Amino acid sequence: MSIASDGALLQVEGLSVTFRSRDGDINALRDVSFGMAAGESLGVVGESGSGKSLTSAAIMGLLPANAVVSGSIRFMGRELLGAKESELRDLRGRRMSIISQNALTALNPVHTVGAQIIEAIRVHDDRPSRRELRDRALALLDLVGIPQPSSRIDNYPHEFSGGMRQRALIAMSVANEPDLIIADEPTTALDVTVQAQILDVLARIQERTRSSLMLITHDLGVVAGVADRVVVMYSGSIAEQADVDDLFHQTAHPYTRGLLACLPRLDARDRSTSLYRIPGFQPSPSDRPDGCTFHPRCDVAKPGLCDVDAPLLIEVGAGHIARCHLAVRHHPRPDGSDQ
Amino acid sequence: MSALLEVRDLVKEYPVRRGLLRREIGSVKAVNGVSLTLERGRTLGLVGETGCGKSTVGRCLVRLVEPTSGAVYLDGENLTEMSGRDLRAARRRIQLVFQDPYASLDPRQSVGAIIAEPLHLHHLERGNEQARIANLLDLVGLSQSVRDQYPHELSGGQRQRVGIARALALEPEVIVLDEPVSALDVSIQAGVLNLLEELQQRLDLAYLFISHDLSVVRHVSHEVAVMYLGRIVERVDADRLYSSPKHPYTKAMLSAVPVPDPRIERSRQRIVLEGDLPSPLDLPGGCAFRSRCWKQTDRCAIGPSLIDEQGHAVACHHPELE
Amino acid sequence: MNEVQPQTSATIRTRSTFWRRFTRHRMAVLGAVILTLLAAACFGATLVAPYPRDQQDLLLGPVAPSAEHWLGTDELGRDYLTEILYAGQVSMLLAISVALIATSIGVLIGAVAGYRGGWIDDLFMRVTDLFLVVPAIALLALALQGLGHSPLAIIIVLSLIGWTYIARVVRGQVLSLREREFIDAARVIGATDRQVLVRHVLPNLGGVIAVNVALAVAGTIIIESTLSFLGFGIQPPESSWGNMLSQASGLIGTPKVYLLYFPGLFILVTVLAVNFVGDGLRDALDPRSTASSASSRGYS
Repeated sequence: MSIASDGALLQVEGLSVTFRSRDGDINALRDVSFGMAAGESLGVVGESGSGKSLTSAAIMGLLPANAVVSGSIRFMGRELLGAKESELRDLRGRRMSIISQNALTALNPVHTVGAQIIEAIRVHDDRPSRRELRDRALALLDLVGIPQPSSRIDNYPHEFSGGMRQRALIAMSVANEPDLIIADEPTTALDVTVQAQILDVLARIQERTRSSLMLITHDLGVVAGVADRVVVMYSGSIAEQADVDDLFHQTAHPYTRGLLACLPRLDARDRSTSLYRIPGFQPSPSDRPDGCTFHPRCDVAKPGLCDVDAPLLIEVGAGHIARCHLAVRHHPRPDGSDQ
Repeated sequence: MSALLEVRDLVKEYPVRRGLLRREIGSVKAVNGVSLTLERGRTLGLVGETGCGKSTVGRCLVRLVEPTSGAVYLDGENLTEMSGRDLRAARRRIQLVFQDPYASLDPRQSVGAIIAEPLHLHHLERGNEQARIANLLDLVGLSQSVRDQYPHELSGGQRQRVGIARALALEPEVIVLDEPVSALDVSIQAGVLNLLEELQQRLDLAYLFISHDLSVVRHVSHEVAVMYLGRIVERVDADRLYSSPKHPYTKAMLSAVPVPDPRIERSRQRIVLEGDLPSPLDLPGGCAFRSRCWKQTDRCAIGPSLIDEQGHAVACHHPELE
Repeated sequence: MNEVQPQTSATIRTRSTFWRRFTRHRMAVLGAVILTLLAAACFGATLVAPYPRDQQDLLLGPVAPSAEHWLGTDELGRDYLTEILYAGQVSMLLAISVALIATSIGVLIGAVAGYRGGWIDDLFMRVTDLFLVVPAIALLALALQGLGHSPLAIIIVLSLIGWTYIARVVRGQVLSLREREFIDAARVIGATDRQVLVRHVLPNLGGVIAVNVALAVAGTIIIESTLSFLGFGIQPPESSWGNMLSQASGLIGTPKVYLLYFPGLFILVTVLAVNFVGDGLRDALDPRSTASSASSRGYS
């Protein structure tokens, strides 16, 4: 696997997003590049303001009107940036779909859940009969684990619990068996036991439809369990990108290391002393420091280097890149193999 | 010797009204007989999922919510029977830090005014107020320059520190922390957790730490109580809860928490619970968890009571073996 | 409601940023300047007005605007500008008094009803419903018939009718403010209901109140004109912009129709200026309106 596996499905190259505002331009996303192979699960991790949701909005073509986009987004061989709205509309929902975190507002309260799923199918396929559509909706509800779908299909969203609404939303998103599912914080508002159910459903769907999953989250634990590969974002750019095992066990970027160290762990041996704390906070896009954007918070930053030169992405191992002058290179694995 | 804070058989019922005339058709027990004790300098974690009643317990303790029955003793004095002047005085001793540091700060007050407010209300530190504010800002690790700023000008972590400083202004002995870090980014969360721990050691504070995040609770708590649908189903010291949970619900919940390590994740056995939380209006009789429990038998039709064995209390007919 | 607020450095700073925010609002500054000039001219009419009040020049009769009489004269040969300035005293006093009294009553009742809820709120809602179903103009006419047409009577009657609107708005705002967590936070640190209202609820209503005072000023001027038109307002020889307007209404279709325009113009300019000032106050009272350029909420 090469860096940014050659994007058989999706290839994002040099993606930048700038917002025009009265107070000047805000470079919200800067030179983001990554690829996704078919069937792959990519985790995109970052804190709020890192640009992770913006990346998915750019791919779906759902950026606000005052955003200026540059770079390239190739999906199944087609360039999406600059494509006609009608072309994008055709792709959205059929070839790629998004599951957002807000299951309550994403469903229309005045239509039944069944009607909304049927609508999602019909937008891209108006041939099936009513009987057929209803059967497909029932099968989808069953797939996402809603018990007794036939008695639930005519319920309204408010009659569903939070977890069930999220499932209904997933059913709508996968109604047309898309090739790429973008899940934007799909479990953030949910309890752990419900999160486990939802992640289970996503895994089942992926297995069945062979679709690729782009999971956007702030939760490194969820990423560890779901993703094959991980992109870590910080302040609008990619800080590190690696296979999931390398990211957690051969961590190259000080920011990723900090994120891992500051997490309280369920599997800690005892009530440990104090957590590592990344000092300061993420700079706002209009006020980024010179040099490496992370250097004011970094505990290994070198004066004269990190506060002056912006680092480039460097390769630290096979399929593993990090944007850091002092990135830690791979050490050979104990068994001698390095993929 | 009695504990610093003792909660006995706390019940909070909400009436359920329906229809045009808003007739009362029944009631929901958000908290259904909760008992807790908390010692000085200790942290009790109260965990559970949405709707289990953990926040209502916290709000009953500071009398933001009036409990239907039960008692809250602070140093032997019953808070639930107090009113007027006594209640105002008692409020100084037990404070609450809210989950959402933005919503819980008045957008029209500067940080200085927010921290000064409890001092004004209780006529404290007259003439010495500025020094006390400076000292509180120091205590929570904020620079003096934020004093004239407004909440919207601060980051999430800074806001939560302002909320903590406001609670500390009255020099309380007990602080109820209602999901104090769940609105914060992970890199910010660690700083606030460390601060809380540091303050506890310095000021000998007792914390009731309410959270849905089992990893965070594990990190901060000495003892943990697990709530499910208004009741405590398990209560034990933190290490034992995590190494050998006895209640099936605790076990399922712990197994569902992701661990940030892909190798461990791959080898973990996850218990995925069937179905949803039953509606509080329509609870199964007996054990409330039995509709989702893989161990349920006929015995579970009769609700188990919380039985303490060697400091490990569990409410289950079929507990896991230690 | 006269809680003594300790003067901390924070409240002083609030005052200076208040002016900075207000002065950034250009139309509001313009409105304030115009209002100040108008008020100064009206209330200082004895010094400013080109002619003494009620000085008739029957030989001159009505003339068109000229260098001597900028706005012309009326049938009795009185200088129209002088008349308008003196009439402005009555109109402005009336409008400002009614706006302040009605808003104070409305804010107090609305805030208590919204904050306390229960039977107080029910009672309040029924009373305002009553005001909504009874036609205000008829009520006004009836009341003024009984009380006479003095400015004081008009102020009392308009205030008693005018408070319901702002009370409803305030009640709605308070209902949603009451659910905000910072209100709970204030109660936890020991604030009484009254302290919560004074320290947290009312300051957060500042914008709404400012806008409503402005609307009430404008509304009162217009209602007073309507009443004068119907013969229930200020009666001659006392004059107001409203009754000047109604007296001039007989001139429609004659060459002297401009006598209708001038009081109308003064009403229009005053109403607009008050509205701009209200907008400016609303923004100036909200600390978030100066959100620094660094703020970048809205996308992640």
